[in-house]
Amino acid sequence: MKNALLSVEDTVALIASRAILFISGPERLLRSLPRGNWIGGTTSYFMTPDGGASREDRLFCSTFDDAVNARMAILPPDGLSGLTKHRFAHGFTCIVTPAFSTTLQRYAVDGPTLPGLYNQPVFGWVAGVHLDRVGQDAPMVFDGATGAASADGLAALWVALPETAEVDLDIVNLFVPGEGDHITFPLGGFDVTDCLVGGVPTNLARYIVERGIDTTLPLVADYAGAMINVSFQSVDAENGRVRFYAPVVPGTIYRLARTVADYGSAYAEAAREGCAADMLSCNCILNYRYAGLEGRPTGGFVGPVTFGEFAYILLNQTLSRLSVRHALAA
Amino acid sequence: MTDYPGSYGTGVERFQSDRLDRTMRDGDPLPSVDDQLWVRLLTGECNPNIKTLATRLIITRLRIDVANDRTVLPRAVQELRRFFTDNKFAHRDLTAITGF
Repeated sequence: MKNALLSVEDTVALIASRAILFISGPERLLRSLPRGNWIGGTTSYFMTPDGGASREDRLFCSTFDDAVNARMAILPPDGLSGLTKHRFAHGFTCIVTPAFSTTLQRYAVDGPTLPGLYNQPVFGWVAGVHLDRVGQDAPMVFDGATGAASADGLAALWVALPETAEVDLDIVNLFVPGEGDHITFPLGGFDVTDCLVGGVPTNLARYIVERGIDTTLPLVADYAGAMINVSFQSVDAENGRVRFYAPVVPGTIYRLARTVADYGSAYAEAAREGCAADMLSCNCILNYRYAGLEGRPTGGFVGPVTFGEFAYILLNQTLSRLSVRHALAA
Repeated sequence: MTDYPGSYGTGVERFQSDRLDRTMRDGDPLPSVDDQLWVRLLTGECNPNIKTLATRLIITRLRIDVANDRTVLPRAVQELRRFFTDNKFAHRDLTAITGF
């Protein structure tokens, strides 16, 4: 696997070489690309070797030179079961879907129960736009094979690997649950009014405002050892409503996260066991904003900065990473 | 905490005991579908140190299903066991889960 932040001309040359690619960048540049073996999604932000950067003149290209085959499509909101049906016997799947779309909402809620979802890695992210243009520009995804673009589909790239290849998909989450009360929800979803705080029925929005809680920190749940975040999008105390960037799940215990002391050091520590620059990775725009990652390296991880991440399921404020390793032939 | 058939003691002691009553068919690396280990795993009574993200996520999803509706427990056990049967990559978690 190779990663590079490229000009349009260099990306076109890569596509012409029949490379299999996952591309991120501004819509104008993605629309200018020729047909080929690629999918893409919009973003204006990247993790580069020199640190986080906003670029309107570059495309981030991940090239899967380990692949022995690939296929791609844009799945509609009611066709998400195709995600697991179309995959190869051995390989992984890349996905990208637009922020604020029906498809994202549906995958966030129904994706975790797709039959066989956890049998093969599913890596991806949520397409976004420049933060100055949220609400004006629409996040988009692209299927390079057909030239199709969509503001409400899920672009999927199914990659076949040789049997000697082993794929590892994991997350780097700098947040851990804090010491505060545990919070549970009687109903799931992106929009919440009522919850139980330490077992006591509470309106979450008013609880947050009254306590002066820092909503740049997510709620965190322990998924059998994996720390899974749900990030705050808005808190409306007047109407008693909280909106999240991912759905909360009934039956799950959440706590407000503990503050992270030093993002840069924490990413460097997470990257210690492998060559992060050779991994497929993405990081969250909320980490980019709240941790001031612009111009600051993230432990060697490179890739798009996104409006949500996928490692099988939708994630928030998390770095998702996939690596391919080849077993030595006997 | 709810008691289930075959569960006794707490923490490490109970987990050690699991080793003694494991019901595995010859040549099968997995405990049988009737083994109480699956129940303890899916009710959160036992929390082994699992490393693989996929295993962590499927166990959690099934635990939530079971917490919300106990009647789905047999189906959840079958689904989890099938996950390990189908996915060799997840076998790295088996030692932590079975104690072997």
